[in-house]
Amino acid sequence: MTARSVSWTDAASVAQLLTRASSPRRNAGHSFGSAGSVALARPIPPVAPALAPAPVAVAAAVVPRAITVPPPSRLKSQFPAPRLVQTSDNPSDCLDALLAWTLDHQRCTGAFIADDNGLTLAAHGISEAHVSLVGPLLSALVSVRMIPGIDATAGALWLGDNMMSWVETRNERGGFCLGTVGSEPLSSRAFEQLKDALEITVRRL
Amino acid sequence: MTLSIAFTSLKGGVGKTTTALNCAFAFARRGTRTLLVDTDPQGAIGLSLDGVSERAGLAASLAQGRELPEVVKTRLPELQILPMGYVDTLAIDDLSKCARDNDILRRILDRSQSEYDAVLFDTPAGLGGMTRLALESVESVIAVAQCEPLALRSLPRLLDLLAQLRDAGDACSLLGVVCNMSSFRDPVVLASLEELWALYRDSVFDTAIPRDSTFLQASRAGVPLGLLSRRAPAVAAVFDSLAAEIEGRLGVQEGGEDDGPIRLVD
Repeated sequence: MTARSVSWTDAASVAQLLTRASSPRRNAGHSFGSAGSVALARPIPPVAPALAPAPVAVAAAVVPRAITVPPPSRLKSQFPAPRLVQTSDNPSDCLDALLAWTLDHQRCTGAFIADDNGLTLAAHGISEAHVSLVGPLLSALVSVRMIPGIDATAGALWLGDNMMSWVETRNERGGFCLGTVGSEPLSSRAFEQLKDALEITVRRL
Repeated sequence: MTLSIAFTSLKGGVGKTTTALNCAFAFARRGTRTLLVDTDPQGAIGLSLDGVSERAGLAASLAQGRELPEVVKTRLPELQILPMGYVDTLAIDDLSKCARDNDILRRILDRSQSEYDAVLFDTPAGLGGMTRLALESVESVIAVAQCEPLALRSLPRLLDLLAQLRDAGDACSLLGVVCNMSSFRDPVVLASLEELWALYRDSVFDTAIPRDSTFLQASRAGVPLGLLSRRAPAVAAVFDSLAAEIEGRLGVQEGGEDDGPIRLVD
């Protein structure tokens, strides 16, 4: 059986249709509230980022919105890691920066960020199986934390071929989890660094 | 100038109403005076909101030859709704003809110029009837695409219609494609997402709406996501992000010419 595209659509005809169906983007200049009343923007709640796809094997023409990831030769070359510095106020950029920092400075082949509902906010280099683990794993840890004296905001899980490690932290919007997948569990120092980086990031969400 | 946006899809069940409703709520939360107009003969907006389904709306206005119907005010002063109201099943085919004859959507837009910053139209599935009328009336069109094969395969048909309408002199233009019900957990959904990005590139909004059980809870309660509980669920913020992107694509500056801090007290 020949593999066929999902959409049964050829890129050239779509590109042509897009050209005919769209106008050039407007330049900034228009503002709401020009008819009289002042449309003051209300305080905008923190923005949850769009799902960023894990760049899995795709056709050559496919250009998903992937996170900028350093080339493999640079990976883990700067251990111990410098502290993460977030420079953007855009939550999506912050998550991308956290993911790139993690992949760059920790001993892992993939990483993800999820919220406490198990909703993956950003991911790179992890399989669907890993992603599907996140929700149940975080749910299970809720009951573990009910045991007095148990923090359980960091941990590692042996998956057979590799290890999943994660840290969690919370802000007023809920819990967030930063996880990695690699051939070995992270060190205690790495866990501390991950948690610090996640806390820095979550403060901006 | 009032912005006019239609949320459209040839395929049904892709989440047009949910997207339009929650975007309208997000716009209003940002201070944009917003009118949400239901052009779906099924009255999808009314069915989505507790307290709206029994209200008279466009349908009654058309049937009785009345002036434009009264809008439904909401908890947010910046958000008002024009529901479809009840449409007799046997009269559904006549509705769009009657709406066209009365030029009702353009009249709504004309009346909105001084009262609203944005008018959002939720449209029924398909590309005929009320959908086509909405497309002929608005300036911007957002294609709602569920992340699955059938929705992707039907998307070029919408673009083709838009292209033809523009060739015929209508102003409607594709503002972007928003992918709905995205998920990493299903390989077909993931493949659909990747193909959507590959084919439609910059036309696809960066904000993807995830598949999330919270939508069902909001539907059950008959409220926008942002009003599901005192502390809005995290996924509600996706629509803040989408609204900001829409504003960006429309060239809207938040807070007027000077996009700096705004004093609370004058």
